[in-house]
Amino acid sequence: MESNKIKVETTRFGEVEILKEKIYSFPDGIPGFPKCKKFCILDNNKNTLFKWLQSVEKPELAFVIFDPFLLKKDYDIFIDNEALKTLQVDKREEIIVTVILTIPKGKPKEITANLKAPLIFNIVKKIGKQIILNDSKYPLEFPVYNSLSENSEKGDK
Amino acid sequence: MLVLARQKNEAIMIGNNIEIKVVEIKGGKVRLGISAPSDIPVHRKEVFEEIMEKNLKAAEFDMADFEITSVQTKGEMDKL
Repeated sequence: MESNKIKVETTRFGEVEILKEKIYSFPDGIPGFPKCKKFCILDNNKNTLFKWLQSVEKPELAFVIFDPFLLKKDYDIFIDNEALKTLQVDKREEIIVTVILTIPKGKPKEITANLKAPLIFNIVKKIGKQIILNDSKYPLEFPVYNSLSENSEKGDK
Repeated sequence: MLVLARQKNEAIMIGNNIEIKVVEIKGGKVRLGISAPSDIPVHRKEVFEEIMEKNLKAAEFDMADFEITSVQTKGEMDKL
């Protein structure tokens, strides 16, 4: 019987078994890694707010991804037609937007989110792409830590 | 690389529908006007390079640092 899972070799998580439906193709790669065209989503059971985007082809390549709307409720992006074509989007509901987090070595409190270049996923057709937003409204390094505590302080009042 | 000399208000065409025009030349700076179909993304090269570098950095994350962030942020998120 054909298995619906594949084994993926990873540096950080060891060998993991992935459902085929958790694998996304990135036809354009990701800037900096143009040859990596297959990634899978790894869930984080300890903290479901974070997920990992793991390269299927390159064991050491993984990103921490996060929901940008938790950082900025009014995060509002324009996806250009070329990206929509690459992502084969027919309906808005097919799209999920995430952002990549950067955790500087030894300074986890200085974690930032790249709001300028979000990752767009077509969850129906399993295609992903990182797009670059042309308006400079959103920064490359949005401090995650501060914004979350500010939000929670506001919430307390 | 193809090198073309252009004066102010002169343009070049790339294919049939991308036009790049020299709008202004002043003090070592050239302003370019770009007309391209909306499905062609146009970016300053620095921006693309910036994203590339950011991705390279992001991909270097350490699991020990991640665990700390993950635990501490969880506390913050629970307050939301």
